[in-house]
Amino acid sequence: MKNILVTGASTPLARALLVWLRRVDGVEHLVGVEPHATSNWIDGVELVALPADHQDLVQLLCQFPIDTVIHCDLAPDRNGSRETPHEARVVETMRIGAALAHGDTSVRSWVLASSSDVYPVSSHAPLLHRESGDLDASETGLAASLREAEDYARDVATRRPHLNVAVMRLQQLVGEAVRSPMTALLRQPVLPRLAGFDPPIQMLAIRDAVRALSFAARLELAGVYNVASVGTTRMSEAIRTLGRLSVPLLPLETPPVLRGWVRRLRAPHVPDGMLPTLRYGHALDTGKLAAAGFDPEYDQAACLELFRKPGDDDASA
Amino acid sequence: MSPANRPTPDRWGRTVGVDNAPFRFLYERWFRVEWEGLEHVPRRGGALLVANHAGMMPVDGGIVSLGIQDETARPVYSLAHHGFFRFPFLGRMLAATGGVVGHPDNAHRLLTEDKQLVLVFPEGQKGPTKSPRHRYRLQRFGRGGFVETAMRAGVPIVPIALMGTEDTTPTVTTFRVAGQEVPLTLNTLLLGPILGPVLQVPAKIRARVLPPVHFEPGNGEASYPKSLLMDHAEAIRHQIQLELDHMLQRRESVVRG
Repeated sequence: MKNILVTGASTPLARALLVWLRRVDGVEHLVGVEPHATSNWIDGVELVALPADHQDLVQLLCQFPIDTVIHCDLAPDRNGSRETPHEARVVETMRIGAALAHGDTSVRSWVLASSSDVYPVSSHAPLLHRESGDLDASETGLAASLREAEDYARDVATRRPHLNVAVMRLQQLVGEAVRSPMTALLRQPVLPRLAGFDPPIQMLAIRDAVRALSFAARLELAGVYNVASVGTTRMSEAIRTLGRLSVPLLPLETPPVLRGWVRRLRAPHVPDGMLPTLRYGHALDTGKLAAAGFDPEYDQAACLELFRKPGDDDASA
Repeated sequence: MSPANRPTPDRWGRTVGVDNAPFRFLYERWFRVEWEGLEHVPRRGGALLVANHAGMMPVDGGIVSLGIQDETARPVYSLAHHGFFRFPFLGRMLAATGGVVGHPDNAHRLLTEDKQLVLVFPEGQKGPTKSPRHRYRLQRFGRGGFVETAMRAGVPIVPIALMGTEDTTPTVTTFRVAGQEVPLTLNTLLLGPILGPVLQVPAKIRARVLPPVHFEPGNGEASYPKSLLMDHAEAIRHQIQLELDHMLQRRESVVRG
């Protein structure tokens, strides 16, 4: 882990990762890749556009030469920008994979930040998903795209035995700069919950995500790993911890015509895609990464603290 | 719903199990439950409890849980059909009393990590939908999945024969709703959909715990031969069936036992 290339460089996850890596001993060169970069530098890290041409991409990887690629540009709902359709991100993943599989690069470790969205959220699902468990079988949508990208990464790993490919399935990311369905849920002044349901929920503090990605790169891990902050919590517990009011809602999607209004009025609502999670819950078994030696710093209570604004304590006292 | 003094649920959502006054009334006065062989329930470590199953709103799970909880002070978790967890309040209530989605991963985790007692009715849906003619005739024991669960977890199976539970809600007929076989019980027919499932025939319930079945220590195999699993499953089914036949012979009346 000397010369590192990080994709999706303008996303909150990659930015936090770059800031972290700058302070890691032994890291000599850091390059951020961002297709729509507005400047050439971000937080003191050089930014380049992802070359459209395969040969140029291989060239970029041969610079220094790069030995580690951390791909943070896959899960759109986890990093804030939802503009790019996820199919495009899958194609981007495949292009990087192709460069690694064919080129004469000296990359030894490819860390792919995937997401817990590959797992189904339903009444059938087990309490904690294991890496070997069933995946969401939807044919379209985010889960399908993530599955496709992961399959491709597995393909590259088979074709290039010397390349260690780590697929890191990140749980619902939380942190100051993060915009995701989970943060849209927990930032509401009056929290929504579903009447008659109290599901287990789980988050991943952005700091733990960064440490896990860096850990995977440093150890050159190969295989699929779940990543989440310690433990699980329940919706009712989360509401109590945050000390906010909550409103029971019926398990219905907000009709599209009302969505704008609901947001503008800051009325309690279930964010897009969070309905199944609020019914059945969604949590990962992180035993495999723990066995590899990774210890998250945050537990679920600490993750919730990230949603407390200064002065909240007075309100709840 | 006072959030302040509600007991904190464990990671499965269980709070105090089935220990509540109305259920205790049913257990002690209505069904007058009597146990035999409770010494066969392990006092420590995981074990898979296997029993015969019947009834629309089954009380059998609750009765086994409460009896064992009273005797051994150990909680009992029951594997339940995931469909129940789709309903608001019902799913939560089920979880609070020890119900867990019947997924092999959940069973494995409960038996190995948590070292708990797990109750399963291998007859599954075939239990509640069997006609009165077939009561106490054990239906197919699935594909032997429960044996695989026990073997993988390295825990014993404790068979339990339940007499009386299959008389509490006699099934008149079944019909299909959304691809699921749903029983229509005599109680529901006579008393309506709300009172029917609650007011059950006051059958005398006897529960007999049979000696635990131990397996060769798991050799870390990912999967076991299907034929081996079916052999074990059939043996356990046969054991419970013999016991039921025996109990049925000695029973003088449904209500007095």
